[in-house]
Amino acid sequence: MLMDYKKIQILLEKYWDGKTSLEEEKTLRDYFNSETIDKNLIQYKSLFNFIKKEQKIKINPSFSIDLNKGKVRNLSWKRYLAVACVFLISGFFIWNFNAEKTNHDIAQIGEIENPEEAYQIAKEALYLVSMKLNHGTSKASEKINKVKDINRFIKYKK
Amino acid sequence: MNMKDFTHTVNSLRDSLFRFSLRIVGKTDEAEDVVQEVFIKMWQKRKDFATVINTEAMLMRMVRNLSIDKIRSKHHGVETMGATLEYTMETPSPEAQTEAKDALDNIGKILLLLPMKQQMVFQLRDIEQKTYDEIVEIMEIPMNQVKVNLHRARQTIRQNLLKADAYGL
Repeated sequence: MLMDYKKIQILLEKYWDGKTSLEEEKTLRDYFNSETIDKNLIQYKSLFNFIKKEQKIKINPSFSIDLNKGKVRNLSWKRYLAVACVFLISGFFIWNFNAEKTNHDIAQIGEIENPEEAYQIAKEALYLVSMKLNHGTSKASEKINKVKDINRFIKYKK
Repeated sequence: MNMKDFTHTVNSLRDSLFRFSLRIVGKTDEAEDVVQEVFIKMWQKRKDFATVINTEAMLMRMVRNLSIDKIRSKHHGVETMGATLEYTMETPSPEAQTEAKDALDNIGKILLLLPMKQQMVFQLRDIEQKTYDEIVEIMEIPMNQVKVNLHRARQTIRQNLLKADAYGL
């Protein structure tokens, strides 16, 4: 009994310092989960009881792997394709609309002699282009959000 | 890897993976989700797994990463879990005595007060009985950090057990 106490005390010191081997740690667990624990070491009993209890924790017996869940991930390339399509279509419309508008404005304006007037018209034209680009960007963003919502829905349904 | 090997791996490792995830996420259903996801990934990448030497360590590492992602995405605040349990050296108040008794009754509560890295290293060594080399592989930290984290975790537990004992609880 006395030998046990000394041996365990030495092992405990090594344990607290993180210097015990796995085998020595097993000796400590076995000792503190036995009936004969020295009263001077009783304060450490709860730790080794806790460790033993934790080792017995098991996952729910009904747990099973649903390999079909992984198929959701295969949709990812479709998501990218959908986003790319939205960008392409939006880009095409923005480009087409602006080209048309610019041609139309040039046709109407004709040649301008006064530099001040030319500056004002150029400024207005650039403002118009900027406004249309912003409009296009926000439309594209709305469409991307819709695609995201659809994807969320698809994922949820899966 | 065929389905038979996969099923064998699932059956032999699911409990330890679950316990490790549970230590990090703290919720049974979330830990089960993590384990489910890790095994699905393993099946999808079964060709790559053929070259893995220590499958368990690889899966444990995946569990660690996914579990951390889970708590980060839910703003559980991993970094705030680093406080240490402190008892006053004077005569404890009834509340402090209750706290200490709770801690003694449940070492798990003391563990929750440790930084997440210390909790994980403690779990891997003391509960899962992993070698230091395996812990290095799972945690992706150097050996000296593994030892320092384990040493600090055990010292904190020891100090709290001694303090609780000093109050005769």
